[in-house]
Amino acid sequence: MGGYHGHYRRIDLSAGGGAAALGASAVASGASTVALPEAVLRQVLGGIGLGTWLLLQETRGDYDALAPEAPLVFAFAPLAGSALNTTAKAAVVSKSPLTRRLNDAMISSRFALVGKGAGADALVIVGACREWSTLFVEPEGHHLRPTPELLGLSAAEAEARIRERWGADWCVVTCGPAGEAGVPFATLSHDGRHASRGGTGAVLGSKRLKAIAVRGERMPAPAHPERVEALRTALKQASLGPGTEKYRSTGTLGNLLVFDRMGILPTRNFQQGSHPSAERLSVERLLAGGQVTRATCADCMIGCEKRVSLHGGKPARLEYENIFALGPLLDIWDMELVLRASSLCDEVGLDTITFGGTLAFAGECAEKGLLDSAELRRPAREIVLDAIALTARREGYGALLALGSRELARQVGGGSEGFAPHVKGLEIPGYHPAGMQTLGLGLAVGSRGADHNKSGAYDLDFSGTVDRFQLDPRRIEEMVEIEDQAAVMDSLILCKFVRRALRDLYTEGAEMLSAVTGAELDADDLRAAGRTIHHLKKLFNQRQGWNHAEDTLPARFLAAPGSVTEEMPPIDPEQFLAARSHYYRQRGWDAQGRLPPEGPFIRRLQLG
Amino acid sequence: MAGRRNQDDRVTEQRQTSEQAEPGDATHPVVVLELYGSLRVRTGCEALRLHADTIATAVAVLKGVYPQAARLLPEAAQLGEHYRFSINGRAVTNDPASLLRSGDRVVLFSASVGG
Repeated sequence: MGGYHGHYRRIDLSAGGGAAALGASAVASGASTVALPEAVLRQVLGGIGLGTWLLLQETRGDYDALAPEAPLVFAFAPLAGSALNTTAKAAVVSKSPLTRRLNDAMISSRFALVGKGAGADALVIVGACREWSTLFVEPEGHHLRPTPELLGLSAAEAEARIRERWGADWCVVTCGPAGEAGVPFATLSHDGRHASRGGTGAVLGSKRLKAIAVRGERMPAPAHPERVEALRTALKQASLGPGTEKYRSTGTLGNLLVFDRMGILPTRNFQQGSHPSAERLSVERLLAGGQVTRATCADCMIGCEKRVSLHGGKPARLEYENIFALGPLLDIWDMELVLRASSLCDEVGLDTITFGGTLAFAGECAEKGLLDSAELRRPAREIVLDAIALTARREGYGALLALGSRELARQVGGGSEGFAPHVKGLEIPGYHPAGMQTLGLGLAVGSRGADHNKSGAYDLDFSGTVDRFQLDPRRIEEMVEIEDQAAVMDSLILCKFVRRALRDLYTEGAEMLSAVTGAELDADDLRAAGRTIHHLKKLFNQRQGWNHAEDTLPARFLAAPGSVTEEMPPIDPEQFLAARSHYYRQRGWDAQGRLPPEGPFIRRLQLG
Repeated sequence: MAGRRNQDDRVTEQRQTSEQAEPGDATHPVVVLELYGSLRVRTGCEALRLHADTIATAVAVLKGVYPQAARLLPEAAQLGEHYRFSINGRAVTNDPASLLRSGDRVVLFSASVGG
């Protein structure tokens, strides 16, 4: 098929005897090229779907996410490199050391294109190096180089150092110091973009890999270049239309003031949904002051990325999730401080949402007398920068924060579990679940935990056809459809920010995939792929010991009136359970939310 | 809704210092249209007090007062596809024909919520 290499590359870092034994340009042993069945590719597409399938191929039962044998999968996508824009993303899939469940992250820009050009549809990395090294992958093979001199460097510094020393044609993903230290919410970074959630950086670090560098131009040709060109023109035009206006103008930062107005801006560890000082963090104010510039990923016309520069200082990338997690969630309303904190998280390689959520939670514990820490009793604005640095090194009270809110709550006890802001150990993003109750259910049942990029049910809550303060079982079918569409976009791959620019994702996605691969697919094929990919995620979690008790929200959101905020009613617990049962039925799972029976599904997907 | 009242007061105060008479058909009720994102940046207006009986009418008045807003806002038929409206910050609708009552505050924001 066009668009695919038809194989993946499996690299065992332990098998070659370690980097030191290999020599500067030797090709490591322990490498194999494994064919990918076409029938499987048609069902899982690529990206997240392919990455999850490969993880299931590599593993059976429960395992330690940071053990040497734990796989780290980089899965590329059929549309990437096809000239269709908004497709420069790759999937990074592993077991999460934070949640101990599936972690299907995405990383953007050139790494996704050059990585595919390195000659395989995916890299499956197992084993661990004897000493800190960098893995270099190109079409001719791969090799390891010892790079202890990169230890302690930020991701951006390490990336620059590798390209300076070995050539600017290498594209690099790295972890920062937090990944080296095994912080379970350490990020992986490339060119300032991050696979940020669930600890992919810690998985890389557990293999004593500081970085992976790829290069190559061995891109599989599209089957029908003329059809791809016509679709490219249409997609380009659509991605500059009203469906993406917000992302082009304010980026995701535009959420902040609207969410504040709608009472869903998580503030002080979700104790409030709005704040009189929100205006101080608004992108509207920054834009009016000429303090924002726009940047794009490779092959993208939208340019959602906003770089903010205050007082002529160095521009810092900023998104809504960073600003919410390091601002309102911590009761911080100083834009300069939020920018510094966000930049520091990027430097040390920490997921801002989990860091912010954990610090906000620890602060509330200290305030309530549940956690004996003089430092954590202080206002977050006074400690946030030190806290980031200490967390990345797991030192002092940073060692507590490095646990994430779920593990910290287990240690603190005293009822703190009820307001630890996570699902399955992954901290809740910047949407107050009580004011967006369909999304609340979406976060609760998410295979990755509280992940707003996989559910997308906020589109329903703000569709204008749903009471966002109710969980209506009649809307579950649409919620499932939105989840499936997200899985398809993450697997083709298409950036989700074009979703409103498309007339019909399944029809148009099938047209794109058919033009690239030559396999004539239709909307029903993509719809089925979305379902299949969700089943794969469930199967992986089941094998890791998941049970339906994990598909819930913190008690804070499911309790008595007044327990959430003054303005917002909590989610009705009975309504929640009824809606969850309906969700399981809609997915074809049993009453306990399990995938039954596994046998036929495993055979159809050729999962041995 | 104590928090909301405080914010409403802030927006109202800003409007009162920047506007004089309310535009629109004087037979329609007086409402407030709150602007966010690029609409606010392009117009320099946080909230506009105007006469309107429906959301569509309010948006039409906005376009008349601020021609730069007209370039951002699609025609009425597509308005509900790309924008959302909340009357008084609570329920959300995509129907520009929704009726307004005197004193209503209409929050106008992009339908692209995620990110």
